Amino acid sequence: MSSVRPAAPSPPPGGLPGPPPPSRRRRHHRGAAAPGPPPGSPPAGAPGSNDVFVTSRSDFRAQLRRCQRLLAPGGGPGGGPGAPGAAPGAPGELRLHGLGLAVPRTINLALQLQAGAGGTLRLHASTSSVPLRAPRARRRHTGDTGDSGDTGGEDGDTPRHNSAIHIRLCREAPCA
Amino acid sequence: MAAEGGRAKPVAQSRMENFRKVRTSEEEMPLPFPDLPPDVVEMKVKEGSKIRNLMNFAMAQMELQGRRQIVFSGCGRAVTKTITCVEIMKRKLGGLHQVTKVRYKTVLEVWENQDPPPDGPAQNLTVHKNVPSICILLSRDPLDPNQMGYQPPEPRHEVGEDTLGSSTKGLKRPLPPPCEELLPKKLQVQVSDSSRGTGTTAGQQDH
Repeated sequence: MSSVRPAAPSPPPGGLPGPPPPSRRRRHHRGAAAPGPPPGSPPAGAPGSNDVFVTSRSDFRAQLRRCQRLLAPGGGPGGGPGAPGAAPGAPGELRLHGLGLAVPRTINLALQLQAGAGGTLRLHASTSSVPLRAPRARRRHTGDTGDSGDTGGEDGDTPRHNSAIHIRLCREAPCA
Repeated sequence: MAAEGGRAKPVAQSRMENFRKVRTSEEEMPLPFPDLPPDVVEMKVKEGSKIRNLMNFAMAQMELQGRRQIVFSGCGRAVTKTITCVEIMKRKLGGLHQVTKVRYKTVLEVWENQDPPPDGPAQNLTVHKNVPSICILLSRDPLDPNQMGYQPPEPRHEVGEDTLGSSTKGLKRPLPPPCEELLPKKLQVQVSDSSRGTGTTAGQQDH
């Protein structure tokens, strides 16, 4: 019995290295606001939550478009209106998180979204400090003193922190 | 002489290479907090401000002078430092109510033409920039919890785990890459010669 199966990627018989799988090639995608989670990255939000972690490296216009899509009616974290798992929770609500150097960009993004929404968006900003857990060995190797945090001592026992901002964007009614 | 963002960027760059920024000023804006006492202390955090100096003054005002409220404000690259000061103060004092407001602040930059035309007057380029800014009110007294941007005091057990002296070391960081964000910008050319009038061209950066 011979059944026709869809061509599965298999290593070439000669042992030559084939093209990397798509997942590996997409690992360093720069267009989205939240690329893949490298070690030390912010925790992934709950499934279905509209959390956007703003980075200072990704394209600002792409971040803006993504947030506008998430804020649009029916636009959820899964994509378009018909996408599976789209917008189960509060529609039209978005939470932007910015850490360190990305804080001004986060504010800019929120204000741009508010300006583009014609005044129907409300901003609820809050600040916090995020404990850093930079590996000391890497800092010693690269010469980085880890001075991006707001606190920290000369000994390695003192926890270091970095400033963060969290902006919740809601439509009309104030956020709880 | 309009240098509009987006599509006109290459043209603007080729014309802007002879200009040099000679003056930067911020537009005065009232604090976005109603019902503040007139003598409230406002800490205007700049990019080059030392956190040690800021915190020494702010802590003296809150502890020695017995102030009940204090405002921290900063714009642009000083926003992170502003939040840092607030977080240090919250951690050291504890029990502080906080209200955070974000908005745009208009910054006026004057660029001077280093290579003016031989037969014409020197041209000054005035750039209106909208930079993101933050204003944070810290208060010992309870604030309205229903207003936007309110944060209640944090639990007491997290307070006092850090010292002020350890938080003031090395906050200088390299400049970010050239900004290509969507900062609304207006360009205005001011020709100093009154006989030629004021040639004004305002442009809003495309979104």
